[in-house]
Amino acid sequence: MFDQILSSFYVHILLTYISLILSIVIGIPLAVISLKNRYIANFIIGFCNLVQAIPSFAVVAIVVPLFGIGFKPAILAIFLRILMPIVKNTYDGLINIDILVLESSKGMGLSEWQILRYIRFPNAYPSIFAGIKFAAILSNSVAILTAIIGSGGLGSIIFEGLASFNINKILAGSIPAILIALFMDISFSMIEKKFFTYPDIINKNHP
Amino acid sequence: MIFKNVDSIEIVRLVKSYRDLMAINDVSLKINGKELFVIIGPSGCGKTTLLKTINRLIEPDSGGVFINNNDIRNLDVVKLRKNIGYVIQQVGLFPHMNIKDNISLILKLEGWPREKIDKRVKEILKIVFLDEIYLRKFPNQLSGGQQQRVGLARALALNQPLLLMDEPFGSVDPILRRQLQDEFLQIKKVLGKTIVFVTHDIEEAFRLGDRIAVMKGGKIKQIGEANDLILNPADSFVLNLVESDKKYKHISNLKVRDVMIPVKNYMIDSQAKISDSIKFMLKNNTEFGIIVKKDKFLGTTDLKTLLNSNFIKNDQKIENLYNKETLKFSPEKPLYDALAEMKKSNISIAVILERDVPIGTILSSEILNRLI
Ligand SMILES: Nc1ncnc2c1ncn2[C@@H]1O[C@H](COP(=O)(O)OP(=O)(O)OP(=O)(O)O)[C@@H](O)[C@H]1O
Ligand SMILES: [Mg+2]
Repeated sequence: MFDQILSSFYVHILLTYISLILSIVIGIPLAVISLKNRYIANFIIGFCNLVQAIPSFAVVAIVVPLFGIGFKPAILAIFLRILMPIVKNTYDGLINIDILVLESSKGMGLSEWQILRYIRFPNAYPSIFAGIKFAAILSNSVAILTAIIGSGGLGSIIFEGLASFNINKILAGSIPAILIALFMDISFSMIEKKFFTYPDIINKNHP
Repeated sequence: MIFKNVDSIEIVRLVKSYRDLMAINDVSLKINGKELFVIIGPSGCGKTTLLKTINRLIEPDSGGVFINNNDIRNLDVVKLRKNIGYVIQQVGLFPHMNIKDNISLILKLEGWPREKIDKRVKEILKIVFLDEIYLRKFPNQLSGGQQQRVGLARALALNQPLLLMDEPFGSVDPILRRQLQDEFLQIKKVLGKTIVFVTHDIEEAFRLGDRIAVMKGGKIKQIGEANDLILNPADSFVLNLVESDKKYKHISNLKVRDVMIPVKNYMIDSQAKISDSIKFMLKNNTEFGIIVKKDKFLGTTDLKTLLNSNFIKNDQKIENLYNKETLKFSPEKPLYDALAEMKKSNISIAVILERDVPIGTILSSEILNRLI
């Protein structure tokens, strides 16, 4: 039993973090591309919104006829489900830059890429980070659902417990999942406080 | 730097419209090297738009901008902007960077080594009268006036030969604004840059500007030194603007009598010898004399003509050598009419007569001093 919990925990962490990293690695460039072209932006953001609107359960289910069952399709399902908050928050953070700040950076002779690197991204960090935090927590919960398409992980213990009404099993699956969620929330909040807070950036600098 | 010095900026037949609004409506003007050129006009008249065509933040519909005779469209836009310091209307500091990074970002991107950056930052801070303790602070921790200084410091970082300033002191209270203006006049002396300065405050324009362009509705109404605008406003719009400076509040109601200079030190009797007249002028430190015969006005003379005359050999009476063509005004004549006539005939001196007796004189070079 303990072995089963441990290995499920391990699989669960893999599911959660692989899809999270994947969605960061792919989502942030998508947001940058969207920034450069309005039509691409409409397409990408539109697609993300669509996936967002579909219930998590359906996203997980719809992967099966297309990609089958198991660990990898589960990663894909989680990835699709959590892409949206990352793309959207990154895009929002990058595009919602104070027009005056943008103008003075252009005016001083920064190139497009320098503006992205030194002005837009730092301004977007809080928003990007909020997106990642949300995605991480969502990822953790979708990873429970994917047990029904054979991903393994804590979800399989919970579902087994539910099927046989074994309270111990239910708790053995859900308590670690709750702990992971708590751990994520606390650690992300700490990172946020440490790295992404500077004196209250609301534009008080335009009297 | 693409250009080490800016010797001229020429704006030629510039047009910029937003849908059916003509923000810039066929503007041509020339800005000289090292001058502080002020653009003034009411809100929405196109000042910012015009300024931004110089660093290509705005591309005109037609017409062009030439710096040192180079069409700026042919220059790389990023390089062009690096040659131009730009202070925007609402400061626009980077909120996520501390003051030091705000000022030195561009230096860092230009690949300056760290020690050189530190040295330069300290240098500029002195220029803009800002204490080093602010370097570690963030923009929102500074007062409006301090932010304005940082904005200026940031625009000076690369020691660009051209500085564009869009109402840099617009958002601070009048007392601080005056202080910033005083400081800026000192800074200007040190820098020796060409500066284009936008404002809607006429007193600021008169205090700071070498020359002033008055804009309205996308057009230039008049360009000239402060004197030109004050003494010879091109139209009622410029006049109203001049009169909005409290020093010149009633200028259009003034009569010649109000500003004329007493004539005692200028009066020379027609029977005086040339040599005596010269002595008289030198004694009174004047360069010009009014000749009278039995108190009645005869004409004028000036020191230069007398000195060039053959008076050492032939020291004749002054009545044989005077200028009959003088501008003569009645004391009740409106000042502006008199000034317009003087300008038209290109004569800088006029005599005020009352029943043929000179009672005063006006020198166009002296009028401003008499007004203040
Ligand atoms: N991007 C834009 N789109 C549409 N109209 C614009 C745009 N930018 C400026 N305008 C209009 O062009 C005109 C000139 O604007 P500009 O900003 O140059 O005025 P300004 O003289 O600088 O005014 P202020 O003193 O208020 O700063 C205004 O009527 C303004 O509404
Ligand atoms: Mg403006």
